[in-house]
Amino acid sequence: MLHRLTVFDQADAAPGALDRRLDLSALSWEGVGWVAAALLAALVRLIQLTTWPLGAEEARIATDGLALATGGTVSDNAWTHPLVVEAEALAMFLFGPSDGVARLVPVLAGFGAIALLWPLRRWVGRGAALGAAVLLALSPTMVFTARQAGAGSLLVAGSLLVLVLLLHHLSQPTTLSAVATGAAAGLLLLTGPLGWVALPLTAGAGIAMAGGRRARPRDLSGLAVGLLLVLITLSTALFTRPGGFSEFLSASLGALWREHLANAGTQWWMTPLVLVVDEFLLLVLAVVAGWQVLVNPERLPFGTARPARAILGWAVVGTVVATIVGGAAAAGYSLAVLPLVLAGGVGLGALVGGIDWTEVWTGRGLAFVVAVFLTFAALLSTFNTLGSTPATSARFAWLLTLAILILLVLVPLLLATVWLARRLDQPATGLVGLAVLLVLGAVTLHTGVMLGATNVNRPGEPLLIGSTTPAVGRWIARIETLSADLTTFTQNAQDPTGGHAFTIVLDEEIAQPFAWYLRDFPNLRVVNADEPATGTTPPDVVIALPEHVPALLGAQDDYVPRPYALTVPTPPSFAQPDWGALLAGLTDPAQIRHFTEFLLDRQVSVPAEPRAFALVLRADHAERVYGPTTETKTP
Amino acid sequence: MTGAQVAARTPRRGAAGILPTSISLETALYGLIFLAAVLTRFWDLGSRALHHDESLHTYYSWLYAEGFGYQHNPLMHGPFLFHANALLYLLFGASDYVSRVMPAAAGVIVVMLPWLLRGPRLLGRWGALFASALLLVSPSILFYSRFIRHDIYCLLGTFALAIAVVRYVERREPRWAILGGLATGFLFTTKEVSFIVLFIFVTYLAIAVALRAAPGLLLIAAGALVAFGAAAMTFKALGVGPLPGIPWDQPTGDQIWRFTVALFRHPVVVAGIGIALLAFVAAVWLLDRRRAGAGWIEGILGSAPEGSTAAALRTLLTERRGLLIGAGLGTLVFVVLYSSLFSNMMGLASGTFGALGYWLGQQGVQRGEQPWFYYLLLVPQYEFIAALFFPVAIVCAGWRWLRAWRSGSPLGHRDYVQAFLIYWAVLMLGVLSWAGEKMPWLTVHIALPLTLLAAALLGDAAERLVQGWHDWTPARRRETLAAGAGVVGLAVAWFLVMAWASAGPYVEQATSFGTRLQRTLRPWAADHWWVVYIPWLLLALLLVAAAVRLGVRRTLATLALAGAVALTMGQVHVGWHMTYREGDVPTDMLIYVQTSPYVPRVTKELEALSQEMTGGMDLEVWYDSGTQWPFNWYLRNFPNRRYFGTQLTEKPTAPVVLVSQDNITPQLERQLEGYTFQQYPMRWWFPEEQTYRRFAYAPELNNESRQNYQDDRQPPFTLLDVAGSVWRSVWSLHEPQQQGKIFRLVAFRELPAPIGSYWFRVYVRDDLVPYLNGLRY
Repeated sequence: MLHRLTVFDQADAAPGALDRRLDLSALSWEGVGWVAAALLAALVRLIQLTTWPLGAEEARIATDGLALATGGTVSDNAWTHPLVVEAEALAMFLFGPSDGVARLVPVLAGFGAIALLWPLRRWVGRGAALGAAVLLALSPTMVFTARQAGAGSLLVAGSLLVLVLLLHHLSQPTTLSAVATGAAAGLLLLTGPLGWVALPLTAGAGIAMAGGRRARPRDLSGLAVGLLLVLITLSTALFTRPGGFSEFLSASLGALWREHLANAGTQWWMTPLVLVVDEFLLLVLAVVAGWQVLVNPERLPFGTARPARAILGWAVVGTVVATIVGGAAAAGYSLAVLPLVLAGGVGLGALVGGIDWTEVWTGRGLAFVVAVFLTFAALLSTFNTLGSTPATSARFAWLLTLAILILLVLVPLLLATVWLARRLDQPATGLVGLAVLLVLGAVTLHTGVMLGATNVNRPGEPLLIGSTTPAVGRWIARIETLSADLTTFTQNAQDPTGGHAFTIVLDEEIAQPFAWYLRDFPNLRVVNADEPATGTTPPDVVIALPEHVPALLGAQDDYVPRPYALTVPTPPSFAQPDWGALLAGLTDPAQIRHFTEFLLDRQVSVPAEPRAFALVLRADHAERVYGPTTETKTP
Repeated sequence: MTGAQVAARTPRRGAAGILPTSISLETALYGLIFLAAVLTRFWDLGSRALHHDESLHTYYSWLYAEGFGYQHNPLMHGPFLFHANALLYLLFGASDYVSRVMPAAAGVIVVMLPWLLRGPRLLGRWGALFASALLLVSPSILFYSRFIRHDIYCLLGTFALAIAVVRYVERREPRWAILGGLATGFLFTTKEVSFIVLFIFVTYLAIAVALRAAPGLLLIAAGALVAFGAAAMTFKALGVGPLPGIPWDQPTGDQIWRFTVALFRHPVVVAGIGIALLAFVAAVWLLDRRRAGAGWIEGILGSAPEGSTAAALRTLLTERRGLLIGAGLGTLVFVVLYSSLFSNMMGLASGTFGALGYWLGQQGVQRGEQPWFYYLLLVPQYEFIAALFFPVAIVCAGWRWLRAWRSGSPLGHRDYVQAFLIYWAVLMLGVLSWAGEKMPWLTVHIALPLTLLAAALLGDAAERLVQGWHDWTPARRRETLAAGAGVVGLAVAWFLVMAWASAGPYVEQATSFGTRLQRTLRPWAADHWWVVYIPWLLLALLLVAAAVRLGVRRTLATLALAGAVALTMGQVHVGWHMTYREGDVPTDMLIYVQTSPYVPRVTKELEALSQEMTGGMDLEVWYDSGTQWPFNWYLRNFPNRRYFGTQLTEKPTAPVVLVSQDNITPQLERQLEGYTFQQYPMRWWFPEEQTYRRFAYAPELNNESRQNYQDDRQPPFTLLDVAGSVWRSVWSLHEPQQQGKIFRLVAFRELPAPIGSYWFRVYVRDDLVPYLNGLRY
């Protein structure tokens, strides 16, 4: 019936655009791999997207986006990253203001980044591009930037866009491709101050990948046209903010200096720490890529050796630059992680491409891989036992356990593994590498998924440092409920539905993200700590740093303050690393064991106290919320 | 069509012959629309509080599922809803989410139905695709696809019937007659708008047949209408009283009999019957002359050209198989549902005469007391594309008919379809605007034909551009794309400028409702208001330049498509806010006397309190007549709930008592000593008096106090007075402050006044207050 309808109903129309066929039979394993990468990316990025409340910077961006969409006044900070704010404004115009919508833009940019790896197949090879897509989907840094309302995800997508368009232009230069490349460069600059750093890195990598080909002189004008067109159009919000272009230049370059260049080298260890702790898989694969490129370049797909070398160079330079000027934030880490993803893709592609998969699906190859896993597990147990310190009375039991492990488990497994390896038709290193990759991949996936968990304690996760704690979200909900209950019928044009008549005072130093969450309260005031919070109406709620409470409340004594956790702190071992202990730990089995546990559970020996905020409620409100209390005076 | 063309479109099957190995782009796009429809209709269905009407529907469906039976009552419209929901409750249990599953499913089907109108003589392939896409993003259809009322079912039946009609006229295949019969039967089981739908469809088909078969019939009909009108006016001038009021409120048999006698004795009715008989005789005489001795069907319709409505009627009456099967299926559906699965045969009477009589009688009640311009203001606030393209469609259609008439060439079948859509839209708007009871959910019945019409126009525009695309140079293509991007960019730029300019501070201002806080314009913008017109000026220049480069028609086609893109963004903005973010907060006109979100919140708190105190749902909760709806539904799982009517006859023993504002008396408050109350809005509504009611006078409203919110004039108002009031409202738009106010109302739902509410109190025994506060906070 479907067929008959199709034929009869279209009897008179010639084949047109709608008749183009999508060939489903062309779906290959490579296609399945790309779909799997996209699904994996979606899974890791979307699940529990809003469990963590918005951070201060996220809330600033969301507030600016909402202000732009509704005609409000955007902050001066907005001009450092106009593209981010405008994307947020579009999202909030379409779908309304919420945490999920604020994070929708980076999520979509993250998907865009994965899609942009597809055209790179032509230069790095199909396996490397697919490998990079999988690694991009898995990378905890990339996952984190894709779940944060900010510049990080757009920086990554923008860099890849510039790379793809530049490579395309250099291989087939036309005026249109020059303009498009210039436009992409403009978009990258508009993502934030780090765009000025990412652009030369990406452009340099692109030129190196293309074999040092230069643009035609006349294409430079096309590049300039595209660049200026995008910069001016978007920085002025489609010409509706006439001074936007100059404000963008001064704000963005000023922020570049202030936040990155002026404090270059500050906390330089954070980037390497993130790479070792969160991106160990990428590092390993980048090393594999380096080995292939330097030792076995002939084994790489035809024509991909030069681009692979360029990518490795980009990774090294990017890591150095991120270490020096990236700062301790995800956007800065991405300067190193993005080229490492590409390099890792080359390594992964080479590794996977070197495996004879037919042998894997037969008994021998699979048995070998399983044997490798079991041997690895036995090694881990042996090491674990070696690293533990038994009590004096249990020394014999410890020795016996160790002996059994080594003699009855480890050695036989090792022998079995070697025996199976000898029976393989292909070199065993590839399959060993595959087994190791699977383990590292599982750990990396675990790390990425755990980024969204708020009920698992992970104080040593560097990417989460500075995140707003769930306590903020809970207290916002309580304040809203309390205000709704007590002021439901206080309505006016600013609050036509009522329920938001509370007078709320915010300490300027921690105004965000509270100002974002309490944006529907017309009597919200942001004050400086030196300014008493009373004003004409005594506040119902004050939110401030604990040390600012006395100054803000002045002579008011009918308030009940309580401290709550505001942000995830930096552990002391990250803030001021003990380099001596770290170096000594490289050869200490106990420390190595502790490190492997740390890779999974992110526990630190000395956790830091979270940065706190004081929630100060008027006494009658406090009684309602806390129950009868004797705390009726300010500290 | 050549073999190559057939091959290009025939889906190639895989080796197993089951699934195709390739799909067309068109199929892929429909697939994406389907996925989007499912997601948008089914996502988060249960979070919005149930409307008063929804709670009635869900409660009685739940009782049906629980074995308490169902009897049709015209007050709650047709039986399909109750049977469908009862079935779902039996399968999946009763919850707010499950309650809305069936409307959501119907909504998805409505979105996908344009697929059946892809034929080149209907909407065309592009037009049908646009129709699905526009129905997907239609704010009113989206919202009411997630609302457990009958309107989405009625819309589905209407759409299916419309498709059956145009497809049968196009191809005269029995399956379309069967679909038509089934759709008609189903339509009658939804709601009484079905009578309006049938009136519109039947009159259109009658006019189309008469134009072909015997144009004189139209003259006879027109003459009869004029004669009837003259008779009615003459009787009124002579002092004859109005028609007897229809006994709609549970009438007894005696009341029905007396009404019927009085009706048929009324001079106007007698005159009407006489005129109708005369017209009938004249018509029969005319038709008899035309058939010239041949059979009635062949004689009158035999010369009708292929593809005409008259030819379709001829086939329907002569072949009859489709007609009989369709009628049979439709009747079966009607009988099964109205008789409540054969348990209430009286439902067959209440479903026909009872339903029509009830709702005709209700028109005099004017429930809601909405003015004549209600839909004229409501539809453009949501259906931007449909409303904007409607006058364009009329102009385009009129131009084509004029050209065809002057050149003597026949109109194409697409023109027939578009004429049908225009007729349907105009009459539906007219009848619903005339009806005494106007409600926002009826908007969907106007939105559907308008949306299909807009899709038809956009489809024509797309075909024109796609045809030209292959012949254009790359430079011309780029210019077209740039022109389209320019249109969208300028639309966005205007929005940003307008949003900024109108976002001034709130100040206390004197209004006709007292001193109120009002939003003003930004001071700089107020002094330089001309800046908001710059994007429009640039747009005009862009269009002129494009017309010179691309030609007028292509420019208009580009404008139509690009404008639709920009307006779609606006519809997504409006629809998303209303559907997913504040669906139970009446900052939208489409949200009418809505249960507040405090009601489900209170219910959850009571559930938590019950579980803490009793380990289950055994908490005793008393509630009164004012809170009965929707708390009959929300408290259904509390076995110890107790309804006490309007007053407490004894001091309550229950830990929790719900009392509405109507029943708060000093006596009740004394009886509830030892309880602490928290007051909440139970139902709340859009501030009508401070907004749209001020647009014009409404002298047709029985309640004189609601006829004028614009100034201090007192009724009665003449037609000229009404026209003057409309003009004053339109003219006031030249003031920047008013432009800003209207912009922010439509764009951001910034209300100039608070919403009204009907409140209730939750009385909690004093010893339990700390428990409840612990749960709340």
